[in-house]
Amino acid sequence: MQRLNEDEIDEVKKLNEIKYDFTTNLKPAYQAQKGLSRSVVEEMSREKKEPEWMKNIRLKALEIFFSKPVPTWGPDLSELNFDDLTYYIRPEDRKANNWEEVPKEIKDTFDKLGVPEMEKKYLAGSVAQLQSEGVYSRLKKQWEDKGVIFMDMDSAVQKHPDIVREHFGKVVPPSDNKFAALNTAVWSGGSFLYVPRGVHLDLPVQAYFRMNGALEGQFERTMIISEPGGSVHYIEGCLPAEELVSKGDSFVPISAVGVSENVMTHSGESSNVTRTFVRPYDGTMLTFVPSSRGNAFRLTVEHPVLAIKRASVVTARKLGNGWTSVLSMQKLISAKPDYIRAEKLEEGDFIVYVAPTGSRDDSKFTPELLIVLGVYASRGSIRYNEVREAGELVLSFGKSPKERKMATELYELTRSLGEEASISENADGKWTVTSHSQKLIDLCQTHVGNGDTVKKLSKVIMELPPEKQKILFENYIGEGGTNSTDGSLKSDAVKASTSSELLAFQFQEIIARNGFFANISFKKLRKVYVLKYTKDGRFSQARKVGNNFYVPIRKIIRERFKDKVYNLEVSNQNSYLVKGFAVHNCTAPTYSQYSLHAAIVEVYVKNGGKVRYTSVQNWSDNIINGPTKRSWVEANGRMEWVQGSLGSKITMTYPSSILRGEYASTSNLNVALGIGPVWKDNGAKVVHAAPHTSSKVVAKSISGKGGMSVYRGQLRINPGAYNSKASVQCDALILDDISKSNTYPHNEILEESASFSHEASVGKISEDQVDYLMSRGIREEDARSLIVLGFLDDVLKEIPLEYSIEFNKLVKLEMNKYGAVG
Amino acid sequence: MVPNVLIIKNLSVSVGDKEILKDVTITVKSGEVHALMGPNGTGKSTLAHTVVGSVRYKVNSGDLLINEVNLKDLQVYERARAGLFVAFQEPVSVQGLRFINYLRTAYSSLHPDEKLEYKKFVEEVKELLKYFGLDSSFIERGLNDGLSGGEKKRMEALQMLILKPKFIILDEIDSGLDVDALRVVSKAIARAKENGAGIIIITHYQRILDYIKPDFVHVLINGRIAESGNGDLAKVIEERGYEYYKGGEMSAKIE
Repeated sequence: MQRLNEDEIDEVKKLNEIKYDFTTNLKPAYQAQKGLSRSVVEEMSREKKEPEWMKNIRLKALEIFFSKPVPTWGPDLSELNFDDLTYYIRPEDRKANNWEEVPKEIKDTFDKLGVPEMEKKYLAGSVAQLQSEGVYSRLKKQWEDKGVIFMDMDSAVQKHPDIVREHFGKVVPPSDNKFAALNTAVWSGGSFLYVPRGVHLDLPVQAYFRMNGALEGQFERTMIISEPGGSVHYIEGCLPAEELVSKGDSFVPISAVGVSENVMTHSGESSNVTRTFVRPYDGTMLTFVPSSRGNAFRLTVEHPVLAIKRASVVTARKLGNGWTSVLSMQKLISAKPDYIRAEKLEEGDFIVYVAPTGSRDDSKFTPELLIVLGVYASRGSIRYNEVREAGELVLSFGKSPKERKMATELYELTRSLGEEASISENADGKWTVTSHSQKLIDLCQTHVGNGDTVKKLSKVIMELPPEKQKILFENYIGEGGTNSTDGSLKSDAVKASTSSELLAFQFQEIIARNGFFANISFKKLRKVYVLKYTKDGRFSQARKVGNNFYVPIRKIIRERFKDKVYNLEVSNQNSYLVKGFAVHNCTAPTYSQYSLHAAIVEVYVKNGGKVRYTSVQNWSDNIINGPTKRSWVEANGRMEWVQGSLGSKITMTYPSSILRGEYASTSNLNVALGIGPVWKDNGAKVVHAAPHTSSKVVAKSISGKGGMSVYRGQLRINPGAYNSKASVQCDALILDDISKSNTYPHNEILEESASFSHEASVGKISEDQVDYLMSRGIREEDARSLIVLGFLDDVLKEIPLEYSIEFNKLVKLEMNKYGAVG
Repeated sequence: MVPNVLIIKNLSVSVGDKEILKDVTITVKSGEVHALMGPNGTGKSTLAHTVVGSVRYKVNSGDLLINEVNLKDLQVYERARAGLFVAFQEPVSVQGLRFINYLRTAYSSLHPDEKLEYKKFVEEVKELLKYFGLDSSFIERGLNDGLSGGEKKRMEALQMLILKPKFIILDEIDSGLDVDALRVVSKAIARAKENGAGIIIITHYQRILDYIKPDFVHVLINGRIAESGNGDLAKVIEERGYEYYKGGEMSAKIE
């Protein structure tokens, strides 16, 4: 099979991503038995070929873990059953330091996240972890030469045991809390970063953590050591999005499909959705890239897909001095497609694109009107004419004689329909047809829409008989079979381009109903979707059988996925179409599962060093996230924590800084989004243990839809830490009456010469603010998201751009859902 | 060009149980400047808030039209999109919402058919900040965040120019402005007028009217228009004071 080039991978990425269905894990190289015992820990240490001292640290920590109760002062952790979890899973036997050496499925995961790309562009290095262990680490050579060490933690134990042993568990001892004890006993993976004396690592390094299946624990251990005068920015994080289901007239994201709505099924008929399922998913996700790359879609490994195995439709043929198997068209055409689990499908197998059958004619749509609509879809817009104070329909043509002829014909056609129109030549020689007919304007607006990227055909049009739809499409592409200036096509080739994603899929459906399969591709630079097909079916890898097209899978991408997945139950037919391709209902029950993420991060900032640690977590909402993050800051050192918390069911994070030397300083910026049935328990802890130390804590939280956001902070200025300064600011925004926010600051100022300030605010979005923004033309939902983003701005501007964009998107999405409520 | 027209017709408005405006009628055409004068507490700001569409103000009877569009049926943001701009007496501030981001969003909302060229837009805003004697750093500052009363008023006037509304209502734009600021804001109002906007200046004092001469003056007393006249009426009012109307002189005298 052909490999996709980077551009193509990007293209596939750009096309929305699907989230469905059920979990199975990639087969691990080693997996510990469930539950926790001395033997599990010993076994794990032996598997890792660890030195004796590390095994002893683990066993001691395990005893502490057993002796400590589950914390009860915060969120409800009663559903956490430590015996249900699998503590150690190793996906691969080998670690790579070059992306080419990383096994394909794993590399694909990180490709999709853009990791290798980011590494090239603006990171000094990166470490990637799947399940329990690091699978990749890389540091650019210039930094290696300066003595910087950046690798996964397990390798560090082997390669730099002295440094690790000297620092391990010094900042976060296992006795600190139950999760810390657990992590110390069963830690695996994480990263190790060592910055030698005086080295300023001016590019950030980044670690990526992906969690796998349910009921799994991830206990990474990260250690950052900045020797005197060194500096570094360490980023921890991950990102993800959604898929279009065919409703017949249009394509909607699966998450937006509701019960009793109609969707298209594998037979090409419309049927009723009887149930919808949403559940968190954490496992392997497959992306099927058919020969029409624009139709790429994602689904979980267990999801049945209507397909034909290539192996079942080949025939043996003698080639040179051996036999080879080639595809038999005869066999393919007579084969009967069957539902096959996604994971059993391979590149080259055929999946089934379904052209909807059935139509409903509407005599209002005469051939003449369809011509106008087709031309409008391709080159029309509706704009407001200031002078006339009314809308006008504008169709723009080029200046060639052919274009002029088209403009004239269209003008005449419009007049023959009895509608007002005028034709004019612009200063640049191009032609424009303008109409002020309200009837035409309304028809175009209703059935095609306005705006190049959002045009879509109405339900009525999508249901017209195929021959009528053909008129519209042919006039979209115009004479010569293309609506673009690309003259490279043979005469029987048809090419159409549009910047509207929906229009592209709708045209594909119209073309299919007329007997051809058009490939869709996305041109990144021009941001257009291009449909191509030949009227004689040459070059097409798709085969038409009835109203189905068998389309070969060009590429299957496997990746780890953690987010919500969706599924539909459809009456009678038990199937639905995703980007035009048939998949089965899933009938398996939804059940709840959770995973535990309990990392430890230990940071040592030695004299005059500087470390910034940024983490943006967007774990799925079945995860209980309880990392312990702490830094030890010596004289003149500076520690900066920046934390964004988007996902997970329960989060308990309180990054701490212990300011041990004079003039040591720390800042802690924290944003938490507690929307939905989640509990965000975030905060900061600072101990001023030396004179002239300073700290600044800023925490912002948003609660909505029953979410709980808590600020829990501890600040202590020890006696003798004279002239130290501390400020704490925590602001909470509550979006509705069912959500909550609490603040538990605990301040101990034991030094008289120290100065300390604490500001806290809890507020709602002020209606005066919303009114003011609305009075300037901004819709209510947008006004609310602007206010929320403004509230978060102090902290968002400190977060790396790609993550703050994700924050923006999420806030806008959440606020849009609020719009209806007001 | 057919001029636009803002029609406030027989408008009665209450807040809670109390009727504040009674049967108010004002018609403003493109390029006209109207002054709405009156003592404190007489309902001038109520008129501004009612036209904006604040939910607290209940229209009991009467109409609000821009051309044929009845604003009464529209939400606050739709009224703005119909061409209305109100500069508030006490503009709110929104911490962290950068002025330029806000302004860009507003502009794109009001002029969806126009392709906004960001760089040009920023330049234009910077130029206007200079024009109003405001610091160019305001562009990145939170909306009205930490600004003085006078600065906020000038920021309102700036928005009035850049957002290109058809009708402008200025609710006591002159309060809290020093002489220099008053002069530049008046210049800006003249500029908006030249651009074809119809304008209502709501004011307590006649001071601003020395800088920008209104075409029409209306006196609002106890929620009713007590008198309407041409620009010279402002001077007359200044001489005889609002006390003049207190003696039950309620019928409109047209000069």
